[in-house]
Amino acid sequence: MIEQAQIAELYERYGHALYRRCLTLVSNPDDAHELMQEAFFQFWRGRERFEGRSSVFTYLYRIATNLSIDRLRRRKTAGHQIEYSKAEPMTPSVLATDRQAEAASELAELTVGLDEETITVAVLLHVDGMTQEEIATALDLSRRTVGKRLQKFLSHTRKRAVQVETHVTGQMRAGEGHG
Amino acid sequence: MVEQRRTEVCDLILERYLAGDLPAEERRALDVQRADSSALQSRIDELAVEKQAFLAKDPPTQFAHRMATRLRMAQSESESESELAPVQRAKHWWKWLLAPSATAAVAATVVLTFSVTRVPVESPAAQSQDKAVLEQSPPAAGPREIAVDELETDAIPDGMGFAAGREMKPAPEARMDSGRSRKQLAEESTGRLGGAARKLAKTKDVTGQPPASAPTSPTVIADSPSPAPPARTAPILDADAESAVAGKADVDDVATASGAATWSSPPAGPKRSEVARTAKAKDRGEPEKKKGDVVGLSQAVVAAVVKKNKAAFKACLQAAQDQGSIESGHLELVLNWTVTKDGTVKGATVKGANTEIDAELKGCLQQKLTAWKFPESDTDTVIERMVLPVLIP
Repeated sequence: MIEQAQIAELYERYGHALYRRCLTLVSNPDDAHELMQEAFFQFWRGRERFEGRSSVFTYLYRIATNLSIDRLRRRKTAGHQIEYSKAEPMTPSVLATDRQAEAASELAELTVGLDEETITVAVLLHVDGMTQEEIATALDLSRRTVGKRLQKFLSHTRKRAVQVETHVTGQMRAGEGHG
Repeated sequence: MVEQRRTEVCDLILERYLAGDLPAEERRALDVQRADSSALQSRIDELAVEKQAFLAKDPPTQFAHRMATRLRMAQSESESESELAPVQRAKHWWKWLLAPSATAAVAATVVLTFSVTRVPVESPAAQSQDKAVLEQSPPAAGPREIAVDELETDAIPDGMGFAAGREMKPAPEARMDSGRSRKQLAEESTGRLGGAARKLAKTKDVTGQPPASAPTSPTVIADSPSPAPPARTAPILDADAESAVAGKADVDDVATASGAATWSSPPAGPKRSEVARTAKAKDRGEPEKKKGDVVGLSQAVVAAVVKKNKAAFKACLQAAQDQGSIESGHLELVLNWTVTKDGTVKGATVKGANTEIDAELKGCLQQKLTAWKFPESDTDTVIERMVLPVLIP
């Protein structure tokens, strides 16, 4: 039996925060609303897997962040361009700045293959500009855990950068060869 | 890269504060900060107003209703998939023959090519004989193809041969011996694998009985002439009506929405998959089908596909509601269609049972229904007057 009352309560408490999370990253109200719903859907479908080690909110927040980053990756693959003109006028405080959108887009590429928690920590630091202390508070993590996640992110990013550099160099050499 | 900070506390923590989700100690600390900082106070107020506006736009009850419906549909789909999986596996067993067949075809081609390329190195006498044969062959075909045809002509029995082109022309003796028509022979020669699979399906009767003649009339799943019981079937937008989206019993409910189904078709020999279906049907308490009964789609399979695809109607209904052509409340749709042997839909019609629906909605629903795909079967299956109730929120 699906408890609508429980879903309604969760949504009432966390829906807006999750929507804001998604909107900051994907910069499109329709997409953000869809992703927020998807986060609830995935949470409810897999709630047996929720072990209660973090709060429901942080768990949902991680799902929403990951879904949004995944959407950004797909947009790049599909060559999708955001049409701001079609977006509804939103409260200014919710809209992401250009720099945030750019940072989110870069992170989407750099974090391929990383786990949800590390991605969330990286986004909060590099997109939202939160301090490590704030991230620890917001996600119910210890300061040390936040540091470890960021270390993991940096290590992963360096590897990705080397891969990208090798790929680009190869492409350039191939181009010169043809020329 | 860094967001313009509005207050000394980030929005995420303020959101948790508003949601009553912060641990007690942190909450108390924020209460103190809030009392001292007008900027923090105004930011919290701002976020609270935003949140109220957000919830007013999409109220929690509506959201929960939609979410519950979606969750039920997902649950129903996963059940349908698990129910259809054995049928799908049984249907595609012949695909395992593709790889060996392809390998065999390549090997045969290599052998033939090798044989042909050996021709020039034979003795001058043999070469001159071959040349004479080539000169007598039809000029339209290239030298290599003609050579292959010659080889094949040598291999085939008396009374059969290849004429110009690739069409097979059985001699009268061969037709009399085999009792098969030219069309059947041509079908067998062109669609080797498909023909072989069909042939195997007809001859591999688990009962050991010779195959019966193919059914000519389609299976009909229709209303019984008795008065229709109240419909308790698959709702599309109804989150409260749980009947048709959970459990195997509901699958049958969908199929028999407007009465018990009747089966009318000429007898045909049972196949392996039919035996499996019969066993499943027996488990469900359906009346046991006798040997020679129809081999169309079962009610459960039809119902499972309906359950899997009915969500496609939602877009049509939503658009109709937005345009004001349908109103909130219960709506019953009556569906008629035929599933062809290859699983496609033809002759789809949709109408309202308890109210008229406009042509645009009707067309949209019929288009969706026509796109549905059912499992293949031995005969057409006609579904008549399936009632599908929906709740328009």
